[in-house]
Amino acid sequence: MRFIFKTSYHQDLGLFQDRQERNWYLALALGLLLTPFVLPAYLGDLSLMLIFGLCGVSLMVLVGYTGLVSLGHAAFLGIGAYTHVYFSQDLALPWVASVMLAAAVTAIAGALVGLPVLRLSGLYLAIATLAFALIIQEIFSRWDSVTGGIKGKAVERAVIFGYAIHEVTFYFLCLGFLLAVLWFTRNLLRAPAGRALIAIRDSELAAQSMGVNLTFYKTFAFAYSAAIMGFAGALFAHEVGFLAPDIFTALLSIQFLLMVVVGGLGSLHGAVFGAMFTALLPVVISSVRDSLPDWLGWAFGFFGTDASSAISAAVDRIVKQPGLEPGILGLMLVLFILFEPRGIYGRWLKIRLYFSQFPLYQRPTFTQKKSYMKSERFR
Amino acid sequence: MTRFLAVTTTIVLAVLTGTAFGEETRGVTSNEIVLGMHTDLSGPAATYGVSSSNAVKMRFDEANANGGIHGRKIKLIVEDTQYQVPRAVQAGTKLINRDRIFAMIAALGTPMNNALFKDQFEAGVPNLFPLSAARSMYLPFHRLKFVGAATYVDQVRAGINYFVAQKGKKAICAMYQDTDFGKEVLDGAQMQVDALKLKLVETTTHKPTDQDFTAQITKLKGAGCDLVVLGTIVRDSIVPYAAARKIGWTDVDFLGSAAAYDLFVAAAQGGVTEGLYAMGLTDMPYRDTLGPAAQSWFDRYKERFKAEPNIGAVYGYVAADVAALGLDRAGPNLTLDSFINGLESIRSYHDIFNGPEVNYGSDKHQGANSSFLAVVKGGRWTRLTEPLSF
Repeated sequence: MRFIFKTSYHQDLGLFQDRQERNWYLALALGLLLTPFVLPAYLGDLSLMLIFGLCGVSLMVLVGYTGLVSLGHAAFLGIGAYTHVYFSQDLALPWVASVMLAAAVTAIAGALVGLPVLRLSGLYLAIATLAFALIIQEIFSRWDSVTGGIKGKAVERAVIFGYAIHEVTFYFLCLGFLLAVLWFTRNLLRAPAGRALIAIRDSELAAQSMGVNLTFYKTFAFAYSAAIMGFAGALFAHEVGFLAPDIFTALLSIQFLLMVVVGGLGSLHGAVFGAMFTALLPVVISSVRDSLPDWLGWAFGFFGTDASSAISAAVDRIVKQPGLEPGILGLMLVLFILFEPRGIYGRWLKIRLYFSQFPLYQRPTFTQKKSYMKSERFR
Repeated sequence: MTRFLAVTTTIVLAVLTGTAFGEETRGVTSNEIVLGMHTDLSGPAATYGVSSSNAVKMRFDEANANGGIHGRKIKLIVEDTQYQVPRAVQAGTKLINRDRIFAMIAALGTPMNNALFKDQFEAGVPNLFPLSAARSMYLPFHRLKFVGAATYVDQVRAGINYFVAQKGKKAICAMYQDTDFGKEVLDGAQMQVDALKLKLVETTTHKPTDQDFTAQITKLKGAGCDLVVLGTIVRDSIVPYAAARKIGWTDVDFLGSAAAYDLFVAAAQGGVTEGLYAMGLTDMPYRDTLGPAAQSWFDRYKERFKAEPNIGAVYGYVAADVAALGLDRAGPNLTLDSFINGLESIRSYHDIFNGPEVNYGSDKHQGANSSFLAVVKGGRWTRLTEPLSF
């Protein structure tokens, strides 16, 4: 077990606990920088993972830190994507300006949604945001002159300062955005604004009595979350290459929500883990599906070629069954919610603690101790 | 030392460029051709996605069993998109970048196809016979875009032309779902009434999920339509048609596109779709009305997949059949160029389902633009005409 011996107040201000932690993150950063050269064929999926990471951070601020649920985040993603494409292609604004404007427009949309839903919470808030998303989707399909209507709109490759972005550079672009947003959000969350959000999550009443302006901070949470979604949307537009209203469905919103739940609510790590889960699991499943029959055939080669090819064919038939992939995905989600409500990051913390405390680890360390105020119990 | 350096550099360069020169064509080796297909296996369009991918697979497996094409076996990799664009992009990039496919075949869904075109064409992967009848599948002309049959626009134009010329229809109306598909049908109707110097009397829209169509039918009846063009698929074809007949509106015909030409529409309970017209691209797979070659195909399909083929399976089979023909015509030296030339050299191809004659050319990447008229009779689609043009 390792104890951190604090000798100065600056240690509390640092982004990382100690040098060891910082080194681990540096190693991770180095790994991420090298990834495109090690796994060039997976670049598209990795970029998508980074974009989902942005979506995760966005939703984490709202759901995990402020305790406001949203089933409408696909709409914010859409607003970001469409405004960016409109500004950069139709109005021919420079890329950076266009992305900033897209984030600003999305933030305004977020604040506008934030205002009327201030009085709502829980299920009602979920319904209100869902309704908002449906309205926005309707606007995407009607406003032909801006969005290209139901036929959709092709997205050109990004050109930043005259430099055309291609796969590798796009990956670094997404990585840069994600790191910047993570860094900013991490700092925000330990500043007074972030503390206010967490206070609202834990008890609105208590937060209010401590002088937290609920109206302001809830609106702020929505706007901030939407702004990140705006960045994600702009990148997403380039990643997908084609915008159509039926991309931004309620299903995508639900997927985002599941992403943060699986990753682990209440931590930025969780947002990134969730994004990895959502974006990479299909990749893993499909590559296992493609190679499993051959592996098993090879493994059973011991029993002769006939047995080997029979097994390989049988396995091939099973793994190529349509619908297997969403089935596995769904099963994993159910298992997570049943057995690890704290998500992947929660499980990681437990494993880490288990090893660092080795024979002394105690299960109840992580039991939830949330007590409600009477007035909030049924909210 | 200099000589050593020179030799090493030459070797390194040779190895590096070897990957570029040594590998002749992506997805093609001396004994294998890798083809990819992204389709919907578990989403809303899965009935078409599963059956069409089965049929494509079966056609290629049969080709492989006969020794392959010029000694090469075809390997088909199918990816599920769940009818979602982001998943389609993921699936498509996997096929293009990791499986290094030679060509994409029978990919399902207009937005999914559109989303992948840029990456796919940059990588030099042709898009063969997608399961989408939108015009963007072959327009604007691209060397790597091939479609098999008439688009929704072509179908609707041919249908309206027929009804106006043969049955003296004058008041043309359109009822379409508020989707990219519905809009294509509307565009087709508009183009043809303009060409015939008529006017679209009334149009109504609905959501694909709508259950009740009374308002739309009342509006269309009030406008005095005598031909209603339907931009609808399965349920939204059945329900409004049944509603119109139920309120006693009989002096009107309803004409669907090939999207309404589906087994379920004809077999609707209570025979409520009797007399509904739709444009068809091939025979409907009712075993007893098929030709001998198609009957044998029907039996092989049923034997292998334990289910009867639907119209999606027919489209999948035809797509794979034309692709196999193109591969054959490309000759033993298969490259992208020889394959495109092979496809473009196809003339007077007839599928086993009585589809219209298919011809390609160096500036013609749509195999055919005619479709025939069919009507629901006795719970089945019955073909009424020869392939129609406009």
